[in-house]
Amino acid sequence: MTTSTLGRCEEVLGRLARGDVSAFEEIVKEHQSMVFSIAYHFLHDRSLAEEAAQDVFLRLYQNLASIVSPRHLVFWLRKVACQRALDMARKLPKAPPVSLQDIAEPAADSPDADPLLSEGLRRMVASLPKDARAVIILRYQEELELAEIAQILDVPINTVKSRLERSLGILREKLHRWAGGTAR
Amino acid sequence: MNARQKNIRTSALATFFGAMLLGAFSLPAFGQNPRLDIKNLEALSKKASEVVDVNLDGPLLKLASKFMTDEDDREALSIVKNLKGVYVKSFTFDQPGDYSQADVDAIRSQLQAPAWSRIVSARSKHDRENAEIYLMTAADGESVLGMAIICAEPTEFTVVNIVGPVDIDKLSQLEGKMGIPRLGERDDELHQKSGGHRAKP
Amino acid sequence: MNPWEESLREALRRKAPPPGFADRVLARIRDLPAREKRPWFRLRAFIARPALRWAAAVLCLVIAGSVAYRERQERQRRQGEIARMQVKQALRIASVKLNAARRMVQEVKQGTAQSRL
Repeated sequence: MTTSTLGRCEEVLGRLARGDVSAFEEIVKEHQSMVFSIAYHFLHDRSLAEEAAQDVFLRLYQNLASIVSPRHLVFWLRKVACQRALDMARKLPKAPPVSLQDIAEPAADSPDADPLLSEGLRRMVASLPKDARAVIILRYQEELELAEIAQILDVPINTVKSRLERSLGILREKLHRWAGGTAR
Repeated sequence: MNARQKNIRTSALATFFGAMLLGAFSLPAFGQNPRLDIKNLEALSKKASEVVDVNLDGPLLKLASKFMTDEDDREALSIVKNLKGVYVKSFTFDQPGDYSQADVDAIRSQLQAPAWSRIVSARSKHDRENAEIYLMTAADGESVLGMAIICAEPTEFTVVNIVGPVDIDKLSQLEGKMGIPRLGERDDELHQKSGGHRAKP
Repeated sequence: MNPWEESLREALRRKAPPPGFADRVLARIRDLPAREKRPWFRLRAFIARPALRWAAAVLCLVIAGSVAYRERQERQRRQGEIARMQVKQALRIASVKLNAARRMVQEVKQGTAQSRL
């Protein structure tokens, strides 16, 4: 977060503390993309991701008193978003294999340079083992360091490192195979 | 038949054969069609767990080219811009034996025509993989008219057919680009110290 | 970062939630005790006036015409995008298979050379 964003967030948290509930809307709008995207990349289902993201903000509202700073707010949102997505994923059936035919037509406003590849990658990430999925998402979506990921997921840093290494290996194999390569 | 009628008949026959000869020069040489018939492979779709099926003829390639305007598309566009067709059928199966040698031979037999030359044939007994690359070149032996690749592995069967002057070196260099890792690449970040500096947005 | 990791980063770029997400969150939070009258039926009385009905009909025709045109353009754009994706996928597969065959030949040659040594 930039200094100016932190400053604004500080101000919004201050207004919330003084009972200004409309300030909560600003917090939702500020962080909705981050929370929704964590859930979406975990679950690969927009409606489930929205449900998870709404639950996260509802919980935030109920636990506002425990938020001590803007950085803590972001940390808290990432942590709870991962937990909520994991809880929902546990209740879902196993993800189907990735196939070119299953990939829907590109959206009119897709910003991806290669929508097919991006969608394939997103599906592959959503098919990773659940404990590894959060690591990949926090690393490549949120661009966090391994130590930060370890704090959010509350696991040792070596665990994060091994999950990341294993997941990247799996993704590389899947991607190479998806592109028509030989799995070795 | 009198002499006049004979003359008319002779000149008519001469015209006819002349036209035939001219027509023959404009026809492609026998078997010189770089487009393979891979329709029979569609039956394998029912048994395959994953299928890639690409059928892009000239008009579709032209349409696709209009949309290949990004920086990333430049290399692919340079390969595709003069092509007349790109056809791929790739099947992945759950277990070996789900497709037969007859399926492979149905394609291979088309590539036995004199116009095709097999430029690569590789076989790995250990992995039971078989890969062949064929080229069709023009009579001058220089310009490429088409290419075919057959890859047969225990649980995967792929046929690629490119119609038109394909640049094989450019095609080969695409691996490692377009978001696909080369086999054997490592993730350098993991081998740096953990907690190292990394640019944040 | 490797190019393919860049692809991964791009694929996992943050996405906006569906429109109205913040409103839905706030709606759950507010949990109004009594529902206010919906504004839509006031709108219905307003557009019941004849002059406004004609204006609305003309506007609908104009909108329908431009929507049909845009849909045609959009259909062609989607066809083009799909064809573009298929071209890239086909070239990827062709490239990988081409290099796999070449690598196999190389391995055989190296094996032969080593056995001669």
